[in-house]
Amino acid sequence: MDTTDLDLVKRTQLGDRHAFDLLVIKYQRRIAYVISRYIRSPQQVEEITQEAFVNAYRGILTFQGKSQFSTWLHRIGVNAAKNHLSAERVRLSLYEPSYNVETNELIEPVIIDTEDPERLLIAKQLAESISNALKTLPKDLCQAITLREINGMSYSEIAVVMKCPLGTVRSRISRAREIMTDSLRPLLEPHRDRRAR
Amino acid sequence: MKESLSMYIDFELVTDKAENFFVDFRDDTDFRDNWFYYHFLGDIMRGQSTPDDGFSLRIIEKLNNIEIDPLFDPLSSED
Repeated sequence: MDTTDLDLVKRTQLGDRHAFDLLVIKYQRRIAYVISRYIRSPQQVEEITQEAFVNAYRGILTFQGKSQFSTWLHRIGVNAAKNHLSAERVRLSLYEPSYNVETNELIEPVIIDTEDPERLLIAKQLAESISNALKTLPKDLCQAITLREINGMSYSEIAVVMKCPLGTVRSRISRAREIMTDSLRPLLEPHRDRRAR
Repeated sequence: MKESLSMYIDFELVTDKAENFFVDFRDDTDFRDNWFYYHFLGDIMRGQSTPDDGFSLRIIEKLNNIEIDPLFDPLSSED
Protein backbone atom coordinates (compact mmCIF):
# COMPACT_ATOMS: atom_id res chain seq x y z
CA MET A 1 0.00 0.00 0.00
CA ASP A 2 1.40 3.39 -0.95
CA THR A 3 1.07 4.87 2.52
CA THR A 4 3.22 7.88 1.68
CA ASP A 5 1.08 8.78 -1.33
CA LEU A 6 -2.04 8.33 0.74
CA ASP A 7 -0.63 10.59 3.44
CA LEU A 8 0.18 13.27 0.84
CA VAL A 9 -3.26 12.96 -0.79
CA LYS A 10 -5.03 13.33 2.56
CA ARG A 11 -3.01 16.45 3.28
CA THR A 12 -3.87 17.82 -0.17
CA GLN A 13 -7.55 17.13 0.46
CA LEU A 14 -7.22 19.17 3.67
CA GLY A 15 -5.74 22.06 1.69
CA ASP A 16 -1.96 21.54 1.90
CA ARG A 17 -0.63 22.34 -1.58
CA HIS A 18 2.95 21.46 -0.55
CA ALA A 19 1.81 17.87 -0.29
CA PHE A 20 0.45 17.82 -3.85
CA ASP A 21 3.61 19.52 -5.14
CA LEU A 22 5.58 16.50 -3.90
CA LEU A 23 3.23 14.21 -5.81
CA VAL A 24 3.78 16.31 -8.94
CA ILE A 25 7.57 16.08 -8.53
CA LYS A 26 7.29 12.35 -7.94
CA TYR A 27 4.92 11.42 -10.76
CA GLN A 28 5.21 13.97 -13.56
CA ARG A 29 7.92 12.06 -15.43
CA ARG A 30 6.03 8.78 -15.15
CA ILE A 31 2.76 10.33 -16.31
CA ALA A 32 4.56 12.11 -19.15
CA TYR A 33 6.10 8.76 -20.07
CA VAL A 34 2.67 7.08 -20.15
CA ILE A 35 1.19 9.90 -22.24
CA SER A 36 4.14 9.76 -24.62
CA ARG A 37 3.02 6.22 -25.51
CA TYR A 38 -0.06 7.84 -27.09
CA ILE A 39 1.26 11.24 -28.15
CA ARG A 40 4.67 11.68 -29.65
CA SER A 41 5.01 15.45 -29.80
CA PRO A 42 7.03 16.49 -26.68
CA GLN A 43 5.17 19.80 -26.54
CA GLN A 44 1.78 18.08 -26.59
CA VAL A 45 2.96 15.51 -24.05
CA GLU A 46 3.82 18.36 -21.71
CA GLU A 47 0.48 20.09 -22.27
CA ILE A 48 -1.50 16.90 -21.69
CA THR A 49 0.56 15.99 -18.64
CA GLN A 50 -0.18 19.43 -17.20
CA GLU A 51 -3.86 18.88 -17.97
CA ALA A 52 -3.77 15.51 -16.20
CA PHE A 53 -2.30 17.03 -13.03
CA VAL A 54 -4.73 19.95 -13.13
CA ASN A 55 -7.61 17.47 -13.41
CA ALA A 56 -6.20 15.33 -10.60
CA TYR A 57 -5.81 18.34 -8.33
CA ARG A 58 -9.25 19.78 -9.11
CA GLY A 59 -10.84 16.40 -8.49
CA ILE A 60 -8.65 15.27 -5.59
CA LEU A 61 -11.68 14.99 -3.30
CA THR A 62 -13.06 12.18 -5.48
CA PHE A 63 -10.00 10.04 -4.70
CA GLN A 64 -11.11 7.80 -1.88
CA GLY A 65 -8.18 5.43 -1.64
CA LYS A 66 -9.97 2.48 -3.28
CA SER A 67 -7.02 2.10 -5.64
CA GLN A 68 -3.41 3.19 -5.42
CA PHE A 69 -3.00 6.92 -6.07
CA SER A 70 -0.52 6.08 -8.85
CA THR A 71 -3.17 3.93 -10.57
CA TRP A 72 -5.78 6.70 -10.28
CA LEU A 73 -3.34 9.27 -11.68
CA HIS A 74 -2.29 6.90 -14.46
CA ARG A 75 -5.96 6.54 -15.51
CA ILE A 76 -6.38 10.32 -15.54
CA GLY A 77 -3.27 10.64 -17.73
CA VAL A 78 -4.47 7.98 -20.19
CA ASN A 79 -7.91 9.60 -20.25
CA ALA A 80 -6.41 13.00 -21.06
CA ALA A 81 -4.33 11.47 -23.86
CA LYS A 82 -7.32 9.63 -25.33
CA ASN A 83 -9.48 12.76 -25.16
CA HIS A 84 -6.77 14.62 -27.01
CA LEU A 85 -6.61 11.94 -29.71
CA SER A 86 -10.41 11.97 -30.06
CA ALA A 87 -10.35 15.74 -30.50
CA GLU A 88 -7.65 15.32 -33.14
CA ARG A 89 -9.81 12.80 -34.99
CA VAL A 90 -12.76 15.21 -34.97
CA ARG A 91 -10.49 17.95 -36.22
CA LEU A 92 -9.23 15.70 -38.98
CA SER A 93 -12.75 14.66 -39.96
CA LEU A 94 -13.39 18.35 -40.62
CA TYR A 95 -10.15 18.56 -42.53
CA GLU A 96 -10.45 19.63 -46.15
CA PRO A 97 -7.97 17.61 -48.20
CA SER A 98 -5.47 19.70 -50.07
CA TYR A 99 -3.46 18.77 -53.11
CA ASN A 100 -0.12 19.72 -54.48
CA VAL A 101 -0.94 21.97 -57.44
CA GLU A 102 1.97 20.66 -59.49
CA THR A 103 1.71 16.93 -58.90
CA ASN A 104 -1.98 16.81 -57.93
CA GLU A 105 -1.03 14.50 -55.07
CA LEU A 106 -2.80 14.58 -51.73
CA ILE A 107 -0.88 16.46 -49.03
CA GLU A 108 -1.06 14.30 -45.92
CA PRO A 109 -1.99 16.14 -42.73
CA VAL A 110 0.64 16.02 -39.98
CA ILE A 111 -0.96 14.70 -36.79
CA ILE A 112 2.04 14.01 -34.60
CA ASP A 113 5.59 15.23 -34.47
CA THR A 114 8.54 12.93 -34.44
CA GLU A 115 10.26 12.46 -31.11
CA ASP A 116 12.75 15.14 -30.21
CA PRO A 117 16.25 13.68 -30.87
CA GLU A 118 17.85 16.00 -28.30
CA ARG A 119 15.54 14.80 -25.53
CA LEU A 120 16.15 11.19 -26.54
CA LEU A 121 19.90 11.80 -26.36
CA ILE A 122 19.63 13.37 -22.89
CA ALA A 123 17.49 10.45 -21.69
CA LYS A 124 20.05 8.00 -23.07
CA GLN A 125 22.94 9.85 -21.39
CA LEU A 126 21.09 9.86 -18.07
CA ALA A 127 20.43 6.13 -18.34
CA GLU A 128 24.09 5.39 -19.17
CA SER A 129 25.32 7.55 -16.30
CA ILE A 130 23.03 5.80 -13.84
CA SER A 131 24.18 2.43 -15.15
CA ASN A 132 27.84 3.44 -14.69
CA ALA A 133 27.15 4.85 -11.21
CA LEU A 134 25.52 1.56 -10.20
CA LYS A 135 28.64 -0.34 -11.28
CA THR A 136 30.84 1.78 -9.00
CA LEU A 137 28.68 1.13 -5.93
CA PRO A 138 29.74 -1.52 -3.40
CA LYS A 139 28.05 -4.77 -4.42
CA ASP A 140 25.66 -4.96 -1.44
CA LEU A 141 24.46 -1.38 -1.99
CA CYS A 142 23.99 -1.99 -5.71
CA GLN A 143 21.99 -5.15 -5.06
CA ALA A 144 19.78 -3.49 -2.45
CA ILE A 145 18.86 -0.45 -4.56
CA THR A 146 18.32 -2.63 -7.65
CA LEU A 147 15.98 -5.01 -5.80
CA ARG A 148 14.03 -2.00 -4.53
CA GLU A 149 13.85 0.22 -7.61
CA ILE A 150 13.78 -2.30 -10.44
CA ASN A 151 12.26 -5.38 -8.80
CA GLY A 152 9.95 -3.34 -6.57
CA MET A 153 10.62 -5.48 -3.50
CA SER A 154 9.71 -4.38 0.00
CA TYR A 155 12.46 -4.00 2.59
CA SER A 156 11.43 -7.22 4.32
CA GLU A 157 11.60 -9.12 1.01
CA ILE A 158 15.04 -7.66 0.32
CA ALA A 159 16.18 -8.67 3.81
CA VAL A 160 15.24 -12.26 3.01
CA VAL A 161 16.99 -12.23 -0.38
CA MET A 162 20.13 -10.57 0.97
CA LYS A 163 20.06 -12.55 4.23
CA CYS A 164 20.56 -9.47 6.40
CA PRO A 165 18.60 -7.53 9.05
CA LEU A 166 15.93 -5.01 8.05
CA GLY A 167 18.01 -2.14 9.45
CA THR A 168 20.86 -3.08 7.12
CA VAL A 169 18.50 -2.96 4.14
CA ARG A 170 17.34 0.53 5.16
CA SER A 171 20.86 1.86 5.45
CA ARG A 172 22.08 0.20 2.24
CA ILE A 173 19.25 1.65 0.15
CA SER A 174 19.62 5.08 1.72
CA ARG A 175 23.40 5.02 1.28
CA ALA A 176 23.10 3.91 -2.35
CA ARG A 177 20.76 6.80 -3.11
CA GLU A 178 23.00 9.25 -1.33
CA ILE A 179 26.15 8.13 -3.18
CA MET A 180 24.41 8.08 -6.56
CA THR A 181 22.85 11.50 -6.02
CA ASP A 182 26.19 13.00 -5.01
CA SER A 183 28.07 11.50 -7.94
CA LEU A 184 25.38 12.38 -10.48
CA ARG A 185 24.38 15.76 -9.07
CA PRO A 186 26.15 17.77 -11.84
CA LEU A 187 24.28 15.76 -14.45
CA LEU A 188 20.92 15.84 -12.66
CA GLU A 189 21.13 19.47 -11.56
CA PRO A 190 19.90 20.98 -14.87
CA HIS A 191 16.73 18.92 -14.43
CA ARG A 192 16.13 20.17 -10.92
CA ASP A 193 13.50 22.84 -10.40
CA ARG A 194 15.52 25.23 -8.27
CA ARG A 195 12.54 27.48 -7.82
CA ALA A 196 10.09 24.67 -7.05
CA ARG A 197 9.98 25.22 -3.30
CA MET B 1 16.95 12.64 7.73
CA LYS B 2 18.14 10.95 4.52
CA GLU B 3 17.49 7.41 5.74
CA SER B 4 14.00 8.42 6.91
CA LEU B 5 13.35 10.13 3.57
CA SER B 6 14.52 7.03 1.74
CA MET B 7 12.10 4.94 3.82
CA TYR B 8 9.31 7.50 3.37
CA ILE B 9 9.75 7.27 -0.42
CA ASP B 10 9.59 3.49 -0.26
CA PHE B 11 6.45 3.45 1.96
CA GLU B 12 8.54 1.85 4.69
CA LEU B 13 8.17 4.54 7.34
CA VAL B 14 5.39 3.51 9.74
CA THR B 15 2.33 5.72 9.48
CA ASP B 16 2.64 7.80 12.63
CA LYS B 17 6.32 8.50 11.93
CA ALA B 18 5.52 9.29 8.30
CA GLU B 19 2.97 11.94 9.32
CA ASN B 20 5.44 13.60 11.67
CA PHE B 21 8.17 13.32 9.07
CA PHE B 22 6.25 15.30 6.45
CA VAL B 23 5.24 17.98 8.96
CA ASP B 24 8.81 18.32 10.20
CA PHE B 25 10.38 18.60 6.76
CA ARG B 26 7.71 20.01 4.45
CA ASP B 27 9.55 23.34 4.12
CA ASP B 28 13.08 21.94 4.25
CA THR B 29 15.19 22.60 1.13
CA ASP B 30 17.28 19.44 1.43
CA PHE B 31 14.15 17.34 1.88
CA ARG B 32 12.65 18.78 -1.30
CA ASP B 33 15.90 18.45 -3.27
CA ASN B 34 16.46 14.87 -2.24
CA TRP B 35 12.79 14.00 -2.81
CA PHE B 36 13.33 15.10 -6.40
CA TYR B 37 16.71 13.39 -6.87
CA TYR B 38 15.74 10.05 -5.31
CA HIS B 39 12.59 9.76 -7.42
CA PHE B 40 14.43 10.87 -10.55
CA LEU B 41 17.12 8.22 -10.01
CA GLY B 42 14.48 5.52 -9.57
CA ASP B 43 12.61 6.59 -12.69
CA ILE B 44 15.78 6.51 -14.76
CA MET B 45 16.72 3.08 -13.39
CA ARG B 46 13.32 1.74 -14.44
CA GLY B 47 13.61 3.41 -17.85
CA GLN B 48 10.49 5.42 -17.08
CA SER B 49 12.00 8.83 -17.22
CA THR B 50 11.94 11.73 -19.57
CA PRO B 51 14.26 14.72 -19.07
CA ASP B 52 12.66 17.12 -16.59
CA ASP B 53 14.12 20.55 -17.48
CA GLY B 54 11.76 22.52 -15.28
CA PHE B 55 8.64 20.61 -16.20
CA SER B 56 7.42 19.98 -12.66
CA LEU B 57 7.85 23.66 -11.84
CA ARG B 58 5.62 24.62 -14.76
CA ILE B 59 2.94 22.23 -13.53
CA ILE B 60 3.24 23.54 -9.96
CA GLU B 61 2.96 27.14 -11.19
CA LYS B 62 -0.10 26.27 -13.24
CA LEU B 63 -1.72 24.71 -10.17
CA ASN B 64 -1.38 28.02 -8.35
CA ASN B 65 -4.41 29.21 -10.31
CA ILE B 66 -6.48 26.06 -9.80
CA GLU B 67 -8.94 25.43 -7.00
CA ILE B 68 -10.05 22.04 -5.71
CA ASP B 69 -13.57 21.44 -7.01
CA PRO B 70 -15.71 19.12 -4.87
CA LEU B 71 -18.02 18.43 -7.83
CA PHE B 72 -15.33 17.65 -10.37
CA ASP B 73 -14.62 14.01 -11.19
CA PRO B 74 -11.49 13.69 -13.38
CA LEU B 75 -12.55 10.22 -14.52
CA SER B 76 -16.15 11.04 -15.41
CA SER B 77 -15.39 10.92 -19.14
CA GLU B 78 -13.33 7.73 -18.96
CA ASP B 79 -13.97 5.15 -21.68
